[in-house]
Amino acid sequence: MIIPKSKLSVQFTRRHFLKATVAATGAFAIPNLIPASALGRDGSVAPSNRIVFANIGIGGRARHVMPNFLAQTDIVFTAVSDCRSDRMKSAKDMIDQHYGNKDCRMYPDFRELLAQKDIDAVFIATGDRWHTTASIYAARAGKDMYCEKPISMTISEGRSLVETCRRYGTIYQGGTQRRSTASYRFAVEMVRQGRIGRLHTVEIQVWTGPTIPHGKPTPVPEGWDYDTWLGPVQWRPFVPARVNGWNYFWDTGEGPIIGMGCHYTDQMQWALGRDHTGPVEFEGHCEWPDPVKYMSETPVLAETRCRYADGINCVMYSRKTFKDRYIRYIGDEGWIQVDDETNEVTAEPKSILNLRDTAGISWTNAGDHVRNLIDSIRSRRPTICHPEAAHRSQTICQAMNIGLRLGKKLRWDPVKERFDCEEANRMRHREPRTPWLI
Amino acid sequence: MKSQTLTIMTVLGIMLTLPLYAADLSQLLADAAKYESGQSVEPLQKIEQLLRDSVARPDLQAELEAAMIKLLAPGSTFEARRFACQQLTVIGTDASLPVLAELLKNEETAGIACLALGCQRLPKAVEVLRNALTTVRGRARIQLSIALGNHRDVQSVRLLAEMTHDTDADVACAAIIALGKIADKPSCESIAALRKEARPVIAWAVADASLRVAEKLAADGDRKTALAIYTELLQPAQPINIQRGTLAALFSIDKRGVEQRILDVLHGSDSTLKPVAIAAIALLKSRGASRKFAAELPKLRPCEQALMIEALASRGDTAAVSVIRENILSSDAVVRRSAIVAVGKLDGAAAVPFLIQALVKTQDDEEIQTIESALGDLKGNKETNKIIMEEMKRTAGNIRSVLISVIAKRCGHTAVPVLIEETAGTDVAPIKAAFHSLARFSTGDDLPVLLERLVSLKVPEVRSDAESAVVRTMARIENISSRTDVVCAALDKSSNNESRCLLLRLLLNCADAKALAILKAALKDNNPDVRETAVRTLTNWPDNSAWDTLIEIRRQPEKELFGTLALRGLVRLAAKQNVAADKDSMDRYRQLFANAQNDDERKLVLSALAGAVHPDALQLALPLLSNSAVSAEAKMAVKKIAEAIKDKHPQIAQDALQKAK
Repeated sequence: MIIPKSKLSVQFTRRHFLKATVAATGAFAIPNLIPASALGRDGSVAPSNRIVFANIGIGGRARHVMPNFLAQTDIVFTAVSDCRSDRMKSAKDMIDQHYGNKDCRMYPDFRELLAQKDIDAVFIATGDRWHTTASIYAARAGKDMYCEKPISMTISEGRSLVETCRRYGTIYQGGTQRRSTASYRFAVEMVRQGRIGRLHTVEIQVWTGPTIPHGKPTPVPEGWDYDTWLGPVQWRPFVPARVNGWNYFWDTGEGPIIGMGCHYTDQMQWALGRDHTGPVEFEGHCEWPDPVKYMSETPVLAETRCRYADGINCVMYSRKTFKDRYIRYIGDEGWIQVDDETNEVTAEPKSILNLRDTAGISWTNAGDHVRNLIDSIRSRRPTICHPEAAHRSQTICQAMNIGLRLGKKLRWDPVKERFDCEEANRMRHREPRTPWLI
Repeated sequence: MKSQTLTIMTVLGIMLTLPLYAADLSQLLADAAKYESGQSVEPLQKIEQLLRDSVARPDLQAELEAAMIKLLAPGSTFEARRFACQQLTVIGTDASLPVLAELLKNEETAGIACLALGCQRLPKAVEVLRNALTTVRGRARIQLSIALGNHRDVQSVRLLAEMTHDTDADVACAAIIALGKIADKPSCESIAALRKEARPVIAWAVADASLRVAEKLAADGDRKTALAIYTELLQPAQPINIQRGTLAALFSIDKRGVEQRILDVLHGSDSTLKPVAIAAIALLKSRGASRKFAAELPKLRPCEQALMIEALASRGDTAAVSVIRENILSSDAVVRRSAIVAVGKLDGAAAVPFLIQALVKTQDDEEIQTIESALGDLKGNKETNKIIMEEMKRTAGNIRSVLISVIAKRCGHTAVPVLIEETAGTDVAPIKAAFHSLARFSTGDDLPVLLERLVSLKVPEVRSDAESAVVRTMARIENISSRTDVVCAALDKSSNNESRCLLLRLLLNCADAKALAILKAALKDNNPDVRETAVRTLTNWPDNSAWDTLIEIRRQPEKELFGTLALRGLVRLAAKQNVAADKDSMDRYRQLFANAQNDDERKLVLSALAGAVHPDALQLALPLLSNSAVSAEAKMAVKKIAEAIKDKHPQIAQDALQKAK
């Protein structure tokens, strides 16, 4: 099956914007997001013309991605928000150090940050439970955004996000940055060009789900706003092991199938050109944590499958170690695989690899993904991982998890976004805790 | 066997139909009711397994629901009740409504009750939520409003409308959002009234609800009312995101007026909305749209022109392509770049002259790269390649070199003859470009001719590029002896010493016995340059097969330099074995120390020996501790060796360290 080459949007480099803006407007320019205003003589973007960013939620992932934002000279970070004062302070220090000043503002309540008129866009890297709520609040406040994956905790949350962004004309970049990574783009391109023949199976491997031993509640540490940490999740006592291992409890995370799997389902959807739809059938089986030893809730080992209406299959394994994750596209004339840990592309026939003429950048570099967001903010055109695409790829993982939790084969209508099973349909939605309105 | 299986299946069948879970459930419930974080989650996980089993068993589901209702009793811990509500989210029916209604009355448990009720699309569940809204006070009403909004409950509109004036802004906003979701006629009227009131504290919620209502009206076919709301929301006083969303919605629902609306925005003074309008051009269906909006290009600011070109490029029709092509030579760099990138994706042979003109005009490396990329991407293989080839032959210097790279990128290996031809010239930049492309696209079959070119270069500045191309081509020949054969054949043909030197160096990339023999023979050549090349090549030999030859050179060097080079080569070879050092490696180090003629050379050997993971290495290093000229290096070597072997030879390591103190 040959799918036409995608039309990737024209990307402007910062430098070209800068040159143009000098020529275009001279000294008296109206500050706005369009890159044709005033410029400094040294070629840097005038402060009034920079896109002003802020960060909501700064843990390990945010600290990892943040340098990619800071490297962009036509934006500026001016504020941070986190429910942990130590993290917030450390983020401020990181940003201040980068700019050589003390200007970064701190907001323990992210709603105060969103109320700031001078902030144009936000980088959301909270825990998963917060992603949709924070994104929707940001869209309502008129901010464009980059939000880490997974974009939602439930299918209904994801749909709300898509609708909200459409309603407000929000530019949204989902944090599945492999769409901007050379190795993955190459694999997708090869699939689209039919280099492995007719694609029939996509094989995905994420790692064995970790298990979290039982832990007792403790007082909330000083500097933590635990109520905000929980956010839309119904109250639970503060248990350090659960808070640190939030990824493996259904309220706050959904294990490797979503945590990592959504990167791969995103690639699969993209390769298939199905950003607006999805598979029609899901089934799988898994091994749950030993309840005597562990309190974590998400599967330890899993094998889960889905099938598209035209017969293309996907199998996702949750097994082996973190280093062993990969995606492999299998066609009737060959296969191509990207190993996540090494960023190595392998293929059969090997001649496919000769078509690759660009040096690969690793998935850990989100720079191009960030750049794509900034270009889209200026052009008001959709990002490479727009909300609908992010939601659809996420839905696949969510449906896989629902199938595992119900132990049932499920049929899915991607148009109506409904299962053929009442119990599963109910699991598409979860009421948030007061006062979080989405 | 068959009857046995049948019996087992019958028994299993009977077992499955019996309410066996009842007894288990009561114990499970008793355990689950006491659950608090930190305890075993076994009872909870068993209940979840029962839930899985119950998906295909309505009788079990009813039994499980009854159990969850019991678990919601006040005697259970909060965490147990929370868990029960989570299960009722999936399996709850009307039977659980009374107990959930009770939970709604308490602000502490209203949240978990809503959790269970929010997912149930049962009319009576909605009724419970609605009734609670009349009795519950405080912020629990926020949760109820959200749930009722999600249920699209038209019967709660009156109550919600009253709440929009609540003194608690969060309560009011929750009610407004819910009304926006319900979006029936009374809800629309309430929201319209709120728009008129324009209270700042609820403004965001009113705007949100208005957008939802307009969207629903448009979807239901009431375009007129929807347009009226959108027109209100498009006012400049509204926040920019409301205006942007509204404009996009108007483009979507007012298909006939969309082009005029875009023009209005382009002709207006609101520069923040112009990108939204330009982006919409990409999606227009009408055939004349490209021509119409292309005519607007000169009236826009350059950055907007760039966006317009991007939008026209997405359309990709003839009119769009034509206007984009013209802008390749724009005086503005941003516009020019946008056009160059766009033609690369859209255009074919006709764009070549424009791109080459742009290439001639620019000195900017980034722009040159963009043009090269665009030329490489152009459509129309045969015709486009022909034109680029013709242009290439007419040009010189850097422009020719760009076009050579483009041809190579477009044609891959089939460009090799053209590239080889280019290497025969005297113009440095094109020759370099040709060799760079050859390095990428040549195959083993091209090696003989590449070697010919290498030895007959007219300009020495390109030698390293040529060598690099040859080396990369050699690497593509998997059979090493085939590489040697090709180099040998070239050596046989070579008539001058300079060429022979070049070819001898390449033997390093073969490194088999035949190649070694050729180099050994070259050590006795009449020409001193050839002899020196042989020594230098052997010095870099990748394996120990050259060891004896290097030792020989070391012992009887033709000149001092050769002896020094040989020692360096030997030390390098010895160090390569360090991690897997064995007796033979140690013998080689002994040879090296025996051949070291001064303390500097001993230091050199010690620096390699320090990495050897073998106890005998200590025997070689320790005696040198007493030599004051090299004692510091010896001490360091002893420490490193001892550290590396201490796990396997603790005593030897410890003794050595003691001596090194």
